[in-house]
Order: sequence, then C-alpha cells, then structure tokens
Amino acid sequence: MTFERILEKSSIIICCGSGGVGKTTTAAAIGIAAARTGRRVVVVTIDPAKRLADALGLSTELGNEPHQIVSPPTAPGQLWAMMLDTQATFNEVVRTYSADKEQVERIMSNRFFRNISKNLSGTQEYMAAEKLFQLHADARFDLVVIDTPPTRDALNFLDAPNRLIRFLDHRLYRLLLTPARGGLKVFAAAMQPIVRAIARIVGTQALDDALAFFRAFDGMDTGFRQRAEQVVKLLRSPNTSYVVVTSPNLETIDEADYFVSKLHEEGLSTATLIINRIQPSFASIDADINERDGSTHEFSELRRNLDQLNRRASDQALSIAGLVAHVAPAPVIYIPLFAHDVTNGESLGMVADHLVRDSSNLNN
Amino acid sequence: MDQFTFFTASRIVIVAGKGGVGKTTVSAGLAMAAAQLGLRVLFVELDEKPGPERIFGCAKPLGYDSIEIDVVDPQTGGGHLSARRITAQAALSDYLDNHGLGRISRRLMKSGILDIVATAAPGIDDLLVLGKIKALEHERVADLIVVDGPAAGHAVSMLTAPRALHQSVGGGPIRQQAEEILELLADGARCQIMLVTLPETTPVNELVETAFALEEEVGVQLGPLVINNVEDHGELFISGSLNPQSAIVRAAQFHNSRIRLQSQEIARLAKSLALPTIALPFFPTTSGGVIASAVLGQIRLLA
Repeated sequence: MTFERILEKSSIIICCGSGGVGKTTTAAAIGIAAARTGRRVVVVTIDPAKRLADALGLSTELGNEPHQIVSPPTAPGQLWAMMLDTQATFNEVVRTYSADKEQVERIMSNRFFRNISKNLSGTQEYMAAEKLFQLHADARFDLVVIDTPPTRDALNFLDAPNRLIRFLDHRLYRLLLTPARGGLKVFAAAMQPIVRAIARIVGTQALDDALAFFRAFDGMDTGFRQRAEQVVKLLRSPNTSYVVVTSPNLETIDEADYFVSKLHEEGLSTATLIINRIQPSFASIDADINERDGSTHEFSELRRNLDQLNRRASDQALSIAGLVAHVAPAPVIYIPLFAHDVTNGESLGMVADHLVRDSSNLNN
Repeated sequence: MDQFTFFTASRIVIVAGKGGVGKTTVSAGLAMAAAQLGLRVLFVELDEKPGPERIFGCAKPLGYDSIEIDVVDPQTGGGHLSARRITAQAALSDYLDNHGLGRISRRLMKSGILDIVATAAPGIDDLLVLGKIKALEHERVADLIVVDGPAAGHAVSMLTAPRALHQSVGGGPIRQQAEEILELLADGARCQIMLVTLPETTPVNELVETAFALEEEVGVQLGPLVINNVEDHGELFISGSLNPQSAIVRAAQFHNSRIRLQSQEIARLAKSLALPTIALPFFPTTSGGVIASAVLGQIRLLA
C-alpha cells in the first residue's frame, strides 16, 4: 500500500520511534500532507519537549485542547494540533466516570492521586490512550496523528490500556479493594505475605494512601475497563496505521528495528518506515573539471569532501538495508538531511512534500 | 586536563541525552577509556534495547550479572571493565532477596507484582534502579561506574522520582531509600551527569532545557558536556571558476551550510551553559577502542 493510500484510509496514524529522530516533526508533516488531500487532521504530541509548537512556528504553547494551525497552509483540509496535558486529562477522566461531586472531591484530594497524576511512569501513557480515543470520536476530525514518547515508552503506550485491564482484573487488586474499612489486618491469611511484601517495598503509608485512593475510585472501574477495552480495539483496528520513524545512525536503526519486531509480536504491522535526515549523495567527480583547478590544494579539499559525503551516504544505505528488508513490503520514505534544521512552517511544508513525492516514486 | 583527574572526579557518571545523539556510544567509550587508563570500571546499561554489546564486542546480551569486557589497547596495567544491565524488574527481585523476602519473590514476580507496586507508588521502578546503583557505589565494586542513562526525556523524570517519592511517602523503606539517593545525587564527588547532544538546533535546545531542569529539580552536578558528530573540517573555499552545478560544488555548499549551522549551535550552547565541552567526531565504526581513544584525546584538550 502506498503512503498516499495510508493517508487516505487511516483514521489513526501512530508515529513510533526513538527520541531525536525528528518524530514530532514527522508527525506534523504527516498532518500537513494529509490535510492537503482534504482531510481534517489533528496532531497530538505527548513528548514532553514542546517541539511541535516550535516546528509549527507557534509562539504560544499548545494546550490540552486542539488549536487550528493556519501556517503552513493546508487547504483544502484542516490541520489542528495539541499537546497532551496528562494531569488535565486525568482530571477529565475522573469527572467523566465519577458518580457525584463528592467522589471527584475525594479523589482529587488524595495524596496518591496527586502523585500518580503528575508525570510519573505509566500515567502519561494511560492518558495518551484516553486522549486518542476522545479525539477519534470527535466529529471535527477524521484523522488523528499521534506522536508517541520515545521507543521504550512508546511500547508502554501500546500496552497502557492492557496494563490497566490487567491491573483492574488482578486478584490482588480485588482483594485489596474488598475490605471497606480497616487496615492491613483484615486481609485473608493467604494474602498476608504478599501484602506485607508490598508494604515492605512501598511502606505502609503509601499502601494506605493507595488503598484510600482505590476505595474512592470504587465504582469507576467499570467505566474505566470498558474504555480500556475500546482503546485496545481501536489500536488494533485496520484503520490504525503504525509509522516507524528513524534516522540513519546505528543506535536509532537498532531501536527502530526493535520497535518493528515488537509491533510484529503484537500482531500489528509497520504501515510505513520513514527515514529522516538521510545524507544526500552527489554524483561522483564531474567530467568538466579543467586541469588547472584539479591540481590546487583547494580543489583536493573539495574532492575529499565530495568523497566523504558520498561514502557516508553509501554507509548509511548499507546500515539501513536490514531494517528496510524487515518492514517489507511496507513503503519506505527517505527524507534528506537539509542544509538547515527544520524549525519553521516552511521547512515543515518541505518535509510534507517529500513524504508524498518519495513514496509515489518508490511504489510506481 | 589530566585524564586521570577527569575520570576520578566522581564515582558515578550518568550519561544522559535524547535518543539518537549517541548516548550509548559515548558512555561505552567513556567506560573503556577509563579502563584503558588503569581504573576499575563498571558499565551499567539501563535500557533494554541492544547497543553496548556491539560496541564492546560481546556475543551475548548484557544481563543482570556482570560480565568481563575486553579492554582494547590498555595504556596502563590494572585496568578492568565489566558491564551489566539493570532493569527495574531485576532490581526489585534483588531487593526482595536482600530483605528476607526471597522465598516469595518468585511468586511476586510471576504475579506481575511490579505493575501493582509501580502503580501503588509510581516512580518506584526508577528508585529501585537508582538504589541498586547506589548500593554498588557504596560497596566500591569499581573506581568508576558509568551509567548509560535512560532514553530521552525519561532521564529527568527518573532523577526527579526520588524527590517526588520522598515528598509523597511519609515513612518506611521507600522514604529511607529516596533520602539516600537524594544525598547521592546532591554530592558531586559521588555522582555527576554528563549530557550528550548534537551540534544542531533542536538537540541543543533540549540539552539546555534538560540541564536547567536537572540543576533546579534534582540539584545534581553537571559534568562536561559532550557534543557528538562534530564535523572537523572547516568551511571550504569554492573557486568562482568551478561550475556551480557540478557535484563537487554542490557537495561543498552542502558541507558549508552544515558547518555554519554547527558553529552557530556550538556557540549558542557555550553561551547558554558555562560548562566545559568535549567535541567528538562522527564515528563510522562501533569499535569501543576507536571511540575510547577519541574520548581520551578530547579530554586532554579540556582546560
């Protein structure tokens, strides 16, 4: 399937890859390319760095609500962008599933909740999945492009809804919830060693705080579970496409390869591989160089430079060969290393041009 | 700077930086360089992805138990490099064993207990890993421990986890552990962070953000910065008599514009953070020995 076709039929595009490979920029460029074909796109970044805002030339920070982007132009479609605010999303979730104001109050004032709703591990991924679901259901958009946290966390992101279900289904969790009042004493004898072990690790205080949170949370878990199941279905929908983004150096190629394998293990496939910042190659030495130029020191320096750039280009081609074979038959898009960094709307538009141009070349 | 002084400035060096900046290459190179100088060095990988194995030339993936690494081209006798991978799961198992809970530890592991524990006290996985590193430092298993830090922005959240837990947990072993890690992080003679970046706009922006976040939120001492993939040939002179459309001229123009971008970003970094800087060239190889000698050469140039 060509990348144009992926842009046309997907309702969700998930950009995966390690940090520093231009993943956020790529997500924004995919948004532009899709909007140009008439789609109504929202791009979500959940990366802590505020790079999407930078790349789109926005001076104000993107909030937890999508804002429409006017530059670069995206007619006939629309491009919206937002940055995930984990805390705000968690608060929304609590309000949605709470039975009453008192429950909201109890949860929001709990120390454990305040702790987990900050940027500590896992929460961000749960909330990203929740936001993805909300935006997918939002009639203003017909395509959600999501930029995930760097590789290791991106896997957590895929796993977040499952993790939540597992957590809610966990025997231990159910047992922890069973006693309505009282402390550790009320647990069944069989549970004592495990509860003691947990208390030993996290301390009784943390365990008590957590228990108070789970009690306050009681009744909300059904809603949560249903949502988590829906999100899992959405992540596995044929209209959800996984785009793996990398740069051509050995470390990031390894990470991309690892990610492609992980997707495969999950029964998902890589829809497209995008390789950013490819060193352009130049023709080998020109025939029309005259003798006098050819002998100077300056000229030999130029020649050394040409050879070095071309060697680097062929080294890169060699390094990525395995990854390219690994994702086959998915299309591979090569974005060249530009003479300047992609930091404004105009250069973002150039990346969008390459996304579409390149894939058509490769697939015709 | 004297290379020995450089490597004995602190007992732990945590190398941090966004993915793709060559963090693993730099940390593996530092570890090998220190071992070549005659130090006993432990390299710790936190990520589960492969990487250091290739640089060290190990056949098997690194695991929780240390393995010996061949120190290429030792300059002095007595140097020694070992390497291991510390994951939260393994660190938890180790913790349970050492706290008289070995008997149920296997059962806890199988039941996915880390999920529960991590949800009950988020950040605990980071704390377990840092706690293990702290214990290794305490036991003096090496003169220098080089940690290939966690991927990307995770470094800041990992290093802020002890403070967050210390504030949110009233008492017990977690608070104790968090307190000891905070002490370790605040002591520049025990622990320093080396940040790695590329000479480009976005990576430099991120390095500056991370540096401020680490100093303000963690209070950890920052060691020298490492700028990776620095082009060592300066701007090229392009004679007007050459055909501007020729490959040789276009290649030179490409090089020159990248060089201008690079010097602009290096200057901006120096202005934003007054820290000593090590510039490493682009390595077309993954051989630890080659990287180590480049690292040693650059350290000698430090003021």
